[in-house]
Amino acid sequence: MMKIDKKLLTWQENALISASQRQAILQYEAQYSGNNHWFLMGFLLLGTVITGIGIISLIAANWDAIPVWVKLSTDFMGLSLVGAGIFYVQQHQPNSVWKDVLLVSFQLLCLASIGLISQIYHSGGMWYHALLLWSVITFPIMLYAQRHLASFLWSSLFLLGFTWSLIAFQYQWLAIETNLWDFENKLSLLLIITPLLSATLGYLAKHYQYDALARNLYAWFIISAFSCLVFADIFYWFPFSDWQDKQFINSILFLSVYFLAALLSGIIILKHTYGRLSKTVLLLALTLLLLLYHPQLWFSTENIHTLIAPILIISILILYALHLGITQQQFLFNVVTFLIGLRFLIIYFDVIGSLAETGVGLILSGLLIIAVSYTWYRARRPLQNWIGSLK
Amino acid sequence: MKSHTSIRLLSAIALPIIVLLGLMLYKQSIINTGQSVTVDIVGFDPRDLLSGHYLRYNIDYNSRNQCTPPPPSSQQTVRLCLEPERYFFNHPAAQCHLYVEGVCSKTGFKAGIERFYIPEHAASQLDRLVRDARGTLQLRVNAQGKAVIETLFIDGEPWQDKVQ
Repeated sequence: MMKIDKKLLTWQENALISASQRQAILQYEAQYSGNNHWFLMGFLLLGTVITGIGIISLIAANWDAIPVWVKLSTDFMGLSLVGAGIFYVQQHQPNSVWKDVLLVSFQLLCLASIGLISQIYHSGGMWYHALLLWSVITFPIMLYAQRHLASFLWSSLFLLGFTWSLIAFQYQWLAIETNLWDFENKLSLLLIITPLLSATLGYLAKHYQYDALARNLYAWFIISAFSCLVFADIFYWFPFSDWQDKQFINSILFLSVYFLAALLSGIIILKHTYGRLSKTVLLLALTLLLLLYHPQLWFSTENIHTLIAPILIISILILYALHLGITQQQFLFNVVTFLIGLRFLIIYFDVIGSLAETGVGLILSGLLIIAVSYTWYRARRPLQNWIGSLK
Repeated sequence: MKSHTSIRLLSAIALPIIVLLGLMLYKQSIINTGQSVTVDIVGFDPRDLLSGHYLRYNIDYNSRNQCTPPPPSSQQTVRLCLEPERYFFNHPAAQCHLYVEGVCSKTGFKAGIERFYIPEHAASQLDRLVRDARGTLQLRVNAQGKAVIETLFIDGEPWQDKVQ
Protein backbone atom coordinates (compact mmCIF):
# COMPACT_ATOMS: atom_id res chain seq x y z
CA MET A 1 0.00 0.00 0.00
CA MET A 2 2.85 2.31 0.97
CA LYS A 3 4.59 1.64 -2.32
CA ILE A 4 1.58 2.42 -4.51
CA ASP A 5 0.82 5.49 -2.40
CA LYS A 6 4.27 6.94 -3.14
CA LYS A 7 4.04 6.05 -6.81
CA LEU A 8 0.61 7.66 -7.17
CA LEU A 9 1.89 10.83 -5.52
CA THR A 10 4.84 10.96 -7.94
CA TRP A 11 2.51 10.43 -10.90
CA GLN A 12 0.19 13.17 -9.65
CA GLU A 13 3.11 15.57 -9.17
CA ASN A 14 4.21 14.83 -12.74
CA ALA A 15 0.67 15.46 -14.02
CA LEU A 16 0.23 11.90 -15.21
CA ILE A 17 -2.94 11.46 -13.15
CA SER A 18 -5.31 13.88 -11.45
CA ALA A 19 -5.91 14.17 -7.69
CA SER A 20 -9.36 12.60 -8.07
CA GLN A 21 -7.92 9.65 -10.03
CA ARG A 22 -5.29 9.16 -7.32
CA GLN A 23 -8.00 9.18 -4.68
CA ALA A 24 -10.14 6.74 -6.65
CA ILE A 25 -7.21 4.31 -7.05
CA LEU A 26 -6.38 4.54 -3.34
CA GLN A 27 -10.01 3.84 -2.44
CA TYR A 28 -10.10 0.86 -4.80
CA GLU A 29 -6.87 -0.56 -3.37
CA ALA A 30 -8.11 -0.06 0.20
CA GLN A 31 -11.32 -1.89 -0.63
CA TYR A 32 -9.93 -4.83 -2.58
CA SER A 33 -6.33 -5.19 -1.48
CA GLY A 34 -6.43 -3.66 2.00
CA ASN A 35 -7.17 -6.98 3.72
CA ASN A 36 -4.63 -8.82 1.66
CA HIS A 37 -2.16 -9.48 4.48
CA TRP A 38 0.35 -11.41 2.44
CA PHE A 39 2.67 -11.88 5.41
CA LEU A 40 -0.16 -13.36 7.49
CA MET A 41 -1.06 -15.68 4.60
CA GLY A 42 2.55 -16.65 4.19
CA PHE A 43 2.96 -17.52 7.86
CA LEU A 44 -0.38 -19.35 8.03
CA LEU A 45 0.54 -21.49 5.04
CA LEU A 46 4.08 -22.02 6.33
CA GLY A 47 2.63 -23.08 9.71
CA THR A 48 0.29 -25.49 7.91
CA VAL A 49 3.14 -27.09 5.97
CA ILE A 50 5.28 -27.45 9.11
CA THR A 51 2.34 -28.96 11.04
CA GLY A 52 1.68 -31.38 8.16
CA ILE A 53 5.31 -32.46 8.04
CA GLY A 54 5.17 -32.87 11.83
CA ILE A 55 2.17 -35.20 11.50
CA ILE A 56 3.99 -37.23 8.84
CA SER A 57 7.05 -37.47 11.15
CA LEU A 58 4.85 -38.59 14.06
CA ILE A 59 3.38 -41.31 11.88
CA ALA A 60 6.85 -42.26 10.68
CA ALA A 61 7.97 -42.73 14.31
CA ASN A 62 5.49 -45.65 14.36
CA TRP A 63 4.29 -45.71 17.95
CA ASP A 64 3.51 -49.34 18.57
CA ALA A 65 1.83 -48.51 21.91
CA ILE A 66 -1.11 -47.00 20.02
CA PRO A 67 -3.53 -49.65 18.73
CA VAL A 68 -3.96 -49.84 14.96
CA TRP A 69 -7.66 -49.02 15.06
CA VAL A 70 -6.98 -45.85 17.10
CA LYS A 71 -4.37 -44.70 14.57
CA LEU A 72 -6.64 -45.37 11.60
CA SER A 73 -9.81 -43.89 13.08
CA THR A 74 -7.96 -40.76 14.25
CA ASP A 75 -6.53 -40.39 10.76
CA PHE A 76 -9.85 -40.76 8.95
CA MET A 77 -11.59 -38.55 11.49
CA GLY A 78 -8.95 -35.87 10.92
CA LEU A 79 -9.38 -36.15 7.15
CA SER A 80 -13.17 -35.89 7.43
CA LEU A 81 -13.02 -32.89 9.78
CA VAL A 82 -10.62 -30.98 7.57
CA GLY A 83 -12.75 -31.94 4.54
CA ALA A 84 -15.86 -30.62 6.32
CA GLY A 85 -13.94 -27.43 7.13
CA ILE A 86 -13.09 -26.93 3.44
CA PHE A 87 -16.73 -27.41 2.49
CA TYR A 88 -17.90 -24.92 5.14
CA VAL A 89 -15.37 -22.23 4.21
CA GLN A 90 -16.05 -22.67 0.47
CA GLN A 91 -19.76 -22.12 1.12
CA HIS A 92 -19.36 -19.08 3.39
CA GLN A 93 -16.01 -17.38 2.63
CA PRO A 94 -14.70 -18.79 -0.65
CA ASN A 95 -11.88 -16.21 -0.87
CA SER A 96 -10.66 -16.65 2.70
CA VAL A 97 -7.07 -17.65 3.36
CA TRP A 98 -8.45 -20.33 5.71
CA LYS A 99 -9.70 -22.27 2.71
CA ASP A 100 -6.14 -22.59 1.43
CA VAL A 101 -4.83 -23.42 4.91
CA LEU A 102 -7.39 -26.24 5.13
CA LEU A 103 -6.72 -27.37 1.55
CA VAL A 104 -2.97 -27.70 2.14
CA SER A 105 -3.68 -29.47 5.46
CA PHE A 106 -5.99 -31.87 3.64
CA GLN A 107 -3.38 -32.57 0.97
CA LEU A 108 -0.70 -33.27 3.59
CA LEU A 109 -3.09 -35.40 5.65
CA CYS A 110 -3.83 -37.50 2.55
CA LEU A 111 -0.09 -38.04 2.09
CA ALA A 112 0.28 -38.91 5.77
CA SER A 113 -2.66 -41.35 5.48
CA ILE A 114 -0.98 -43.17 2.59
CA GLY A 115 2.14 -43.44 4.76
CA LEU A 116 0.09 -44.68 7.70
CA ILE A 117 -1.73 -47.35 5.68
CA SER A 118 1.59 -48.51 4.14
CA GLN A 119 3.06 -48.71 7.62
CA ILE A 120 0.20 -50.61 9.23
CA TYR A 121 -0.17 -53.11 6.38
CA HIS A 122 3.57 -53.20 5.56
CA SER A 123 3.02 -52.35 1.87
CA GLY A 124 6.11 -52.84 -0.22
CA GLY A 125 5.27 -50.12 -2.81
CA MET A 126 7.77 -47.49 -3.85
CA TRP A 127 7.68 -43.84 -2.72
CA TYR A 128 6.94 -42.61 -6.25
CA HIS A 129 3.88 -44.86 -6.48
CA ALA A 130 2.66 -43.33 -3.21
CA LEU A 131 3.15 -39.84 -4.68
CA LEU A 132 1.33 -40.85 -7.85
CA LEU A 133 -1.63 -42.21 -5.89
CA TRP A 134 -1.66 -39.04 -3.80
CA SER A 135 -1.61 -36.85 -6.92
CA VAL A 136 -4.54 -38.69 -8.48
CA ILE A 137 -6.78 -38.57 -5.41
CA THR A 138 -6.01 -34.95 -4.48
CA PHE A 139 -6.21 -33.53 -8.02
CA PRO A 140 -9.90 -32.45 -7.91
CA ILE A 141 -9.65 -30.74 -4.50
CA MET A 142 -6.45 -28.92 -5.51
CA LEU A 143 -8.42 -27.14 -8.24
CA TYR A 144 -10.40 -25.26 -5.56
CA ALA A 145 -7.29 -23.48 -4.25
CA GLN A 146 -7.26 -19.68 -4.54
CA ARG A 147 -3.55 -19.25 -3.81
CA HIS A 148 -0.46 -20.89 -5.16
CA LEU A 149 0.73 -23.19 -2.39
CA ALA A 150 -1.78 -26.02 -2.88
CA SER A 151 -1.24 -26.20 -6.64
CA PHE A 152 2.53 -25.76 -6.23
CA LEU A 153 2.63 -28.63 -3.74
CA TRP A 154 0.51 -30.77 -6.05
CA SER A 155 2.45 -30.02 -9.24
CA SER A 156 5.82 -30.58 -7.51
CA LEU A 157 4.91 -33.95 -6.02
CA PHE A 158 3.02 -35.05 -9.13
CA LEU A 159 5.95 -34.30 -11.43
CA LEU A 160 8.31 -36.15 -9.11
CA GLY A 161 5.99 -39.14 -8.66
CA PHE A 162 4.98 -39.42 -12.31
CA THR A 163 8.48 -39.02 -13.74
CA TRP A 164 10.01 -41.62 -11.42
CA SER A 165 7.08 -44.00 -11.97
CA LEU A 166 7.53 -43.62 -15.75
CA ILE A 167 11.26 -44.32 -15.52
CA ALA A 168 10.69 -47.32 -13.25
CA PHE A 169 7.95 -48.63 -15.55
CA GLN A 170 10.27 -48.44 -18.55
CA TYR A 171 12.98 -50.30 -16.70
CA GLN A 172 10.50 -52.98 -15.66
CA TRP A 173 8.78 -53.20 -19.07
CA LEU A 174 12.10 -53.52 -20.86
CA ALA A 175 13.33 -55.90 -18.14
CA ILE A 176 16.42 -53.76 -17.51
CA GLU A 177 17.96 -54.49 -14.15
CA THR A 178 18.64 -51.29 -12.21
CA ASN A 179 21.95 -50.81 -10.50
CA LEU A 180 24.19 -48.01 -9.32
CA TRP A 181 25.73 -47.56 -12.76
CA ASP A 182 22.35 -46.62 -14.15
CA PHE A 183 22.43 -43.39 -12.15
CA GLU A 184 23.56 -41.36 -15.18
CA ASN A 185 20.78 -42.80 -17.34
CA LYS A 186 18.14 -42.21 -14.68
CA LEU A 187 19.25 -38.67 -13.94
CA SER A 188 19.35 -37.83 -17.66
CA LEU A 189 15.87 -39.25 -18.13
CA LEU A 190 14.54 -37.38 -15.09
CA LEU A 191 16.05 -34.12 -16.30
CA ILE A 192 14.69 -34.35 -19.83
CA ILE A 193 11.29 -35.86 -19.00
CA THR A 194 10.44 -33.21 -16.36
CA PRO A 195 10.51 -30.14 -18.66
CA LEU A 196 8.68 -31.99 -21.45
CA LEU A 197 6.02 -33.24 -19.04
CA SER A 198 5.58 -29.94 -17.21
CA ALA A 199 5.32 -28.02 -20.51
CA THR A 200 2.76 -30.49 -21.91
CA LEU A 201 0.64 -30.45 -18.77
CA GLY A 202 1.08 -26.68 -18.40
CA TYR A 203 -0.39 -26.12 -21.88
CA LEU A 204 -3.27 -28.49 -21.08
CA ALA A 205 -3.95 -26.76 -17.73
CA LYS A 206 -3.95 -23.39 -19.50
CA HIS A 207 -6.31 -24.72 -22.17
CA TYR A 208 -8.78 -25.93 -19.53
CA GLN A 209 -8.40 -22.61 -17.65
CA TYR A 210 -6.73 -23.98 -14.52
CA ASP A 211 -4.58 -20.86 -14.37
CA ALA A 212 -2.90 -21.36 -10.98
CA LEU A 213 -1.89 -24.90 -11.90
CA ALA A 214 -0.70 -23.76 -15.35
CA ARG A 215 1.51 -21.08 -13.77
CA ASN A 216 3.07 -23.57 -11.33
CA LEU A 217 3.70 -26.09 -14.09
CA TYR A 218 5.25 -23.33 -16.19
CA ALA A 219 7.52 -22.40 -13.26
CA TRP A 220 8.60 -26.06 -13.05
CA PHE A 221 9.14 -26.10 -16.82
CA ILE A 222 11.52 -23.13 -16.56
CA ILE A 223 13.42 -24.59 -13.57
CA SER A 224 13.68 -28.09 -15.03
CA ALA A 225 14.51 -26.92 -18.58
CA PHE A 226 17.42 -24.81 -17.32
CA SER A 227 18.56 -27.68 -15.08
CA CYS A 228 18.36 -29.99 -18.10
CA LEU A 229 20.63 -27.68 -20.13
CA VAL A 230 23.06 -27.10 -17.25
CA PHE A 231 23.30 -30.86 -16.63
CA ALA A 232 24.05 -31.57 -20.30
CA ASP A 233 26.61 -28.77 -20.34
CA ILE A 234 28.41 -30.10 -17.26
CA PHE A 235 28.24 -33.64 -18.58
CA TYR A 236 29.88 -32.71 -21.86
CA TRP A 237 32.43 -30.58 -20.02
CA PHE A 238 33.46 -33.31 -17.59
CA PRO A 239 32.72 -36.64 -19.25
CA PHE A 240 32.41 -38.79 -16.14
CA SER A 241 34.01 -42.21 -16.04
CA ASP A 242 33.49 -44.17 -19.23
CA TRP A 243 30.10 -42.84 -20.27
CA GLN A 244 31.23 -42.09 -23.82
CA ASP A 245 31.94 -45.78 -24.28
CA LYS A 246 28.57 -46.83 -22.91
CA GLN A 247 26.42 -44.06 -24.49
CA PHE A 248 25.18 -40.97 -22.75
CA ILE A 249 21.76 -42.49 -22.45
CA ASN A 250 20.43 -45.84 -23.43
CA SER A 251 18.37 -45.11 -26.58
CA ILE A 252 15.65 -47.62 -25.84
CA LEU A 253 14.99 -45.87 -22.52
CA PHE A 254 14.26 -42.76 -24.56
CA LEU A 255 10.87 -44.10 -25.70
CA SER A 256 8.91 -42.06 -23.17
CA VAL A 257 10.92 -38.95 -24.09
CA TYR A 258 10.01 -39.35 -27.78
CA PHE A 259 6.39 -39.88 -26.87
CA LEU A 260 6.26 -36.78 -24.68
CA ALA A 261 8.15 -34.72 -27.28
CA ALA A 262 5.64 -35.79 -29.97
CA LEU A 263 2.73 -34.88 -27.68
CA LEU A 264 4.26 -31.49 -26.88
CA SER A 265 4.97 -30.81 -30.56
CA GLY A 266 1.34 -31.59 -31.38
CA ILE A 267 0.13 -29.17 -28.72
CA ILE A 268 2.50 -26.43 -29.97
CA ILE A 269 1.34 -26.93 -33.57
CA LEU A 270 -2.32 -26.79 -32.54
CA LYS A 271 -1.91 -23.76 -30.26
CA HIS A 272 -3.81 -21.05 -32.08
CA THR A 273 -2.41 -18.14 -30.02
CA TYR A 274 1.11 -18.82 -31.34
CA GLY A 275 2.13 -17.46 -34.72
CA ARG A 276 4.04 -19.49 -37.31
CA LEU A 277 7.41 -18.09 -36.22
CA SER A 278 6.81 -18.91 -32.54
CA LYS A 279 5.76 -22.47 -33.40
CA THR A 280 8.79 -22.93 -35.64
CA VAL A 281 11.33 -21.71 -33.05
CA LEU A 282 9.77 -23.84 -30.30
CA LEU A 283 9.79 -26.98 -32.45
CA LEU A 284 13.37 -26.30 -33.49
CA ALA A 285 14.41 -25.79 -29.86
CA LEU A 286 12.70 -29.06 -28.94
CA THR A 287 14.51 -30.91 -31.75
CA LEU A 288 17.88 -29.49 -30.67
CA LEU A 289 17.15 -30.48 -27.06
CA LEU A 290 16.54 -34.08 -28.14
CA LEU A 291 19.72 -34.03 -30.22
CA LEU A 292 21.66 -32.67 -27.24
CA TYR A 293 20.72 -35.82 -25.31
CA HIS A 294 21.94 -38.07 -28.13
CA PRO A 295 25.69 -37.44 -28.14
CA GLN A 296 26.38 -40.64 -30.02
CA LEU A 297 25.00 -38.85 -33.10
CA TRP A 298 27.52 -36.04 -32.75
CA PHE A 299 30.63 -37.22 -31.07
CA SER A 300 33.16 -39.95 -31.13
CA THR A 301 35.31 -40.71 -28.10
CA GLU A 302 38.16 -38.69 -29.63
CA ASN A 303 36.42 -35.33 -30.09
CA ILE A 304 34.32 -35.17 -26.96
CA HIS A 305 35.60 -31.69 -25.99
CA THR A 306 34.31 -29.91 -29.08
CA LEU A 307 32.24 -26.76 -29.10
CA ILE A 308 29.21 -28.53 -30.53
CA ALA A 309 27.49 -29.01 -27.15
CA PRO A 310 27.77 -25.33 -26.07
CA ILE A 311 26.65 -24.25 -29.54
CA LEU A 312 23.62 -26.54 -29.30
CA ILE A 313 22.80 -25.13 -25.85
CA ILE A 314 23.20 -21.52 -26.99
CA SER A 315 21.05 -22.24 -30.06
CA ILE A 316 18.29 -23.66 -27.84
CA LEU A 317 18.48 -20.58 -25.60
CA ILE A 318 18.42 -18.20 -28.59
CA LEU A 319 15.39 -19.98 -30.05
CA TYR A 320 13.60 -19.85 -26.72
CA ALA A 321 14.53 -16.17 -26.29
CA LEU A 322 12.96 -15.53 -29.71
CA HIS A 323 9.75 -17.18 -28.52
CA LEU A 324 9.83 -15.14 -25.28
CA GLY A 325 10.37 -11.97 -27.29
CA ILE A 326 7.49 -12.76 -29.62
CA THR A 327 5.15 -13.52 -26.70
CA GLN A 328 6.35 -10.40 -24.80
CA GLN A 329 7.58 -12.21 -21.67
CA GLN A 330 10.03 -9.52 -20.67
CA PHE A 331 11.49 -10.90 -17.43
CA LEU A 332 12.25 -14.35 -18.83
CA PHE A 333 13.53 -12.82 -22.04
CA ASN A 334 16.05 -10.82 -19.98
CA VAL A 335 17.06 -13.93 -18.01
CA VAL A 336 17.56 -16.05 -21.13
CA THR A 337 19.49 -13.40 -23.06
CA PHE A 338 21.69 -12.91 -19.98
CA LEU A 339 22.32 -16.68 -19.89
CA ILE A 340 23.26 -16.63 -23.58
CA GLY A 341 25.83 -13.90 -22.87
CA LEU A 342 27.14 -15.84 -19.88
CA ARG A 343 27.53 -19.02 -21.92
CA PHE A 344 29.45 -17.12 -24.61
CA LEU A 345 31.79 -15.81 -21.92
CA ILE A 346 32.42 -19.35 -20.68
CA ILE A 347 33.27 -20.40 -24.24
CA TYR A 348 35.70 -17.50 -24.44
CA PHE A 349 37.41 -18.54 -21.18
CA ASP A 350 37.54 -22.12 -22.42
CA VAL A 351 39.07 -21.20 -25.77
CA ILE A 352 41.73 -18.80 -24.45
CA GLY A 353 42.03 -20.37 -20.99
CA SER A 354 45.82 -20.06 -20.82
CA LEU A 355 45.78 -16.40 -21.86
CA ALA A 356 43.30 -15.57 -19.09
CA GLU A 357 45.88 -16.56 -16.52
CA THR A 358 48.14 -13.72 -17.62
CA GLY A 359 47.63 -10.05 -16.83
CA VAL A 360 46.70 -9.17 -20.41
CA GLY A 361 44.25 -12.04 -20.49
CA LEU A 362 42.59 -10.87 -17.28
CA ILE A 363 42.31 -7.27 -18.52
CA LEU A 364 40.83 -8.48 -21.80
CA SER A 365 38.44 -10.78 -19.96
CA GLY A 366 37.33 -8.02 -17.57
CA LEU A 367 36.74 -5.62 -20.46
CA LEU A 368 34.84 -8.31 -22.33
CA ILE A 369 32.56 -8.93 -19.33
CA ILE A 370 31.86 -5.18 -19.07
CA ALA A 371 31.25 -4.93 -22.83
CA VAL A 372 28.93 -7.94 -22.93
CA SER A 373 26.99 -6.78 -19.86
CA TYR A 374 26.62 -3.24 -21.22
CA THR A 375 25.65 -4.41 -24.69
CA TRP A 376 23.13 -6.79 -23.19
CA TYR A 377 21.70 -4.04 -20.97
CA ARG A 378 21.38 -1.57 -23.86
CA ALA A 379 20.24 -4.01 -26.51
CA ARG A 380 17.77 -6.20 -24.65
CA ARG A 381 14.76 -3.86 -24.93
CA PRO A 382 15.22 -2.90 -28.63
CA LEU A 383 15.94 -6.56 -29.38
CA GLN A 384 12.77 -7.65 -27.63
CA ASN A 385 10.74 -5.01 -29.47
CA TRP A 386 12.23 -6.08 -32.77
CA ILE A 387 11.50 -9.75 -32.09
CA GLY A 388 7.98 -8.80 -30.98
CA SER A 389 7.43 -7.12 -34.36
CA LEU A 390 8.36 -10.32 -36.20
CA LYS A 391 5.14 -12.17 -35.34
CA MET B 1 -26.51 -24.28 -9.83
CA LYS B 2 -25.20 -23.87 -6.30
CA SER B 3 -26.16 -27.42 -5.35
CA HIS B 4 -24.34 -28.68 -8.45
CA THR B 5 -21.18 -26.82 -7.32
CA SER B 6 -21.61 -28.20 -3.80
CA ILE B 7 -21.88 -31.77 -5.11
CA ARG B 8 -18.68 -31.28 -7.12
CA LEU B 9 -16.85 -29.94 -4.07
CA LEU B 10 -18.17 -32.75 -1.87
CA SER B 11 -17.05 -35.30 -4.47
CA ALA B 12 -13.58 -33.73 -4.58
CA ILE B 13 -13.32 -33.96 -0.79
CA ALA B 14 -14.81 -37.44 -0.61
CA LEU B 15 -12.63 -38.95 -3.38
CA PRO B 16 -9.38 -39.24 -1.38
CA ILE B 17 -11.22 -40.35 1.76
CA ILE B 18 -13.10 -43.09 -0.11
CA VAL B 19 -10.00 -44.29 -1.99
CA LEU B 20 -7.89 -44.42 1.18
CA LEU B 21 -10.68 -46.10 3.13
CA GLY B 22 -11.07 -48.62 0.30
CA LEU B 23 -7.34 -49.31 0.28
CA MET B 24 -7.36 -49.85 4.03
CA LEU B 25 -10.44 -52.12 3.90
CA TYR B 26 -8.93 -54.14 1.04
CA LYS B 27 -5.74 -54.79 3.01
CA GLN B 28 -7.76 -55.58 6.13
CA SER B 29 -10.01 -57.98 4.20
CA ILE B 30 -6.95 -59.99 3.12
CA ILE B 31 -5.84 -60.20 6.74
CA ASN B 32 -9.34 -61.25 7.85
CA THR B 33 -10.08 -63.79 5.13
CA GLY B 34 -6.71 -64.82 3.64
CA GLN B 35 -4.97 -68.08 4.36
CA SER B 36 -2.10 -67.98 6.80
CA VAL B 37 1.43 -68.78 5.54
CA THR B 38 4.78 -68.56 7.37
CA VAL B 39 8.09 -67.78 5.62
CA ASP B 40 11.70 -67.23 6.80
CA ILE B 41 13.46 -63.91 6.25
CA VAL B 42 16.95 -62.33 6.35
CA GLY B 43 17.40 -58.57 6.00
CA PHE B 44 18.47 -55.06 6.98
CA ASP B 45 16.96 -51.77 8.15
CA PRO B 46 16.64 -48.69 5.91
CA ARG B 47 14.29 -45.76 6.43
CA ASP B 48 11.34 -44.29 4.57
CA LEU B 49 10.64 -40.55 5.03
CA LEU B 50 6.90 -41.06 4.81
CA SER B 51 6.39 -44.18 6.90
CA GLY B 52 9.49 -44.42 9.07
CA HIS B 53 11.86 -47.31 9.73
CA TYR B 54 11.28 -50.62 8.09
CA LEU B 55 13.03 -53.92 7.79
CA ARG B 56 13.91 -55.03 4.29
CA TYR B 57 14.71 -58.62 3.73
CA ASN B 58 14.90 -61.49 1.32
CA ILE B 59 12.21 -64.06 1.82
CA ASP B 60 13.25 -67.67 1.69
CA TYR B 61 10.29 -69.29 -0.07
CA ASN B 62 12.02 -72.64 -0.19
CA SER B 63 10.80 -73.24 -3.73
CA ARG B 64 11.74 -76.33 -5.73
CA ASN B 65 12.56 -74.23 -8.86
CA GLN B 66 14.13 -70.83 -9.62
CA CYS B 67 12.19 -67.64 -10.28
CA THR B 68 12.95 -66.80 -13.94
CA PRO B 69 11.84 -63.46 -15.41
CA PRO B 70 9.60 -63.63 -18.51
CA PRO B 71 10.95 -62.04 -21.74
CA PRO B 72 10.93 -58.21 -21.97
CA SER B 73 7.63 -56.38 -22.63
CA SER B 74 5.55 -59.52 -22.00
CA GLN B 75 3.40 -60.09 -18.93
CA GLN B 76 5.76 -59.64 -16.00
CA THR B 77 3.64 -61.30 -13.32
CA VAL B 78 4.96 -64.57 -11.94
CA ARG B 79 3.12 -66.85 -9.50
CA LEU B 80 4.59 -68.77 -6.64
CA CYS B 81 2.56 -71.76 -5.59
CA LEU B 82 2.46 -72.12 -1.80
CA GLU B 83 0.22 -75.15 -1.41
CA PRO B 84 0.35 -78.11 -1.82
CA GLU B 85 4.04 -77.48 -2.62
CA ARG B 86 6.22 -74.46 -3.37
CA TYR B 87 7.20 -73.79 -6.97
CA PHE B 88 7.14 -70.91 -9.50
CA PHE B 89 4.81 -70.97 -12.48
CA ASN B 90 3.67 -68.47 -15.13
CA HIS B 91 0.26 -69.85 -16.09
CA PRO B 92 -2.71 -70.77 -13.90
CA ALA B 93 -2.32 -74.34 -12.73
CA ALA B 94 -5.26 -76.29 -11.36
CA GLN B 95 -3.16 -78.29 -8.95
CA CYS B 96 -2.05 -75.19 -7.02
CA HIS B 97 -4.48 -74.42 -4.18
CA LEU B 98 -2.81 -71.27 -2.87
CA TYR B 99 -0.43 -68.97 -4.69
CA VAL B 100 1.09 -65.50 -4.37
CA GLU B 101 1.63 -63.09 -7.31
CA GLY B 102 4.80 -61.08 -7.86
CA VAL B 103 7.69 -60.37 -10.21
CA CYS B 104 11.13 -61.90 -10.65
CA SER B 105 14.06 -59.57 -10.14
CA LYS B 106 17.82 -60.01 -9.93
CA THR B 107 17.50 -60.46 -6.17
CA GLY B 108 14.65 -62.96 -6.38
CA PHE B 109 10.87 -63.05 -6.21
CA LYS B 110 9.14 -59.80 -5.11
CA ALA B 111 5.50 -59.82 -4.03
CA GLY B 112 5.22 -56.35 -2.43
CA ILE B 113 5.77 -57.79 1.04
CA GLU B 114 9.49 -57.09 1.32
CA ARG B 115 9.10 -54.41 3.98
CA PHE B 116 8.07 -54.61 7.60
CA TYR B 117 7.56 -51.24 9.29
CA ILE B 118 8.89 -51.05 12.82
CA PRO B 119 8.88 -48.46 15.62
CA GLU B 120 11.86 -46.10 15.73
CA HIS B 121 12.95 -47.31 19.19
CA ALA B 122 13.02 -50.95 18.15
CA ALA B 123 14.74 -50.48 14.79
CA SER B 124 18.36 -51.35 15.63
CA GLN B 125 17.45 -54.33 17.82
CA LEU B 126 15.08 -55.87 15.30
CA ASP B 127 17.57 -55.21 12.53
CA ARG B 128 20.17 -57.28 14.38
CA LEU B 129 17.76 -60.12 15.07
CA VAL B 130 16.60 -60.28 11.46
CA ARG B 131 20.18 -60.17 10.15
CA ASP B 132 20.87 -63.20 12.33
CA ALA B 133 18.15 -65.04 10.37
CA ARG B 134 15.95 -65.40 13.44
CA GLY B 135 12.88 -63.83 11.81
CA THR B 136 9.81 -65.36 10.21
CA LEU B 137 6.84 -63.60 8.69
CA GLN B 138 3.24 -64.58 9.01
CA LEU B 139 1.41 -63.69 5.81
CA ARG B 140 -2.21 -63.73 4.78
CA VAL B 141 -2.84 -64.63 1.14
CA ASN B 142 -6.21 -64.31 -0.62
CA ALA B 143 -7.61 -66.35 -3.50
CA GLN B 144 -6.35 -63.78 -6.06
CA GLY B 145 -2.74 -64.25 -4.96
CA LYS B 146 -2.44 -60.96 -3.05
CA ALA B 147 -0.40 -61.19 0.13
CA VAL B 148 -0.38 -58.95 3.22
CA ILE B 149 1.99 -59.27 6.17
CA GLU B 150 0.19 -60.07 9.39
CA THR B 151 3.10 -60.04 11.79
CA LEU B 152 6.79 -60.70 12.35
CA PHE B 153 8.01 -63.48 14.61
CA ILE B 154 11.47 -63.65 16.18
CA ASP B 155 12.45 -67.15 17.26
CA GLY B 156 8.82 -68.14 16.88
CA GLU B 157 7.48 -65.41 19.19
CA PRO B 158 5.81 -62.06 18.25
CA TRP B 159 8.50 -59.39 17.77
CA GLN B 160 7.02 -57.20 20.54
CA ASP B 161 8.02 -59.85 23.11
CA LYS B 162 11.64 -59.78 21.95
CA VAL B 163 12.16 -56.01 22.02
CA GLN B 164 12.95 -54.20 25.27
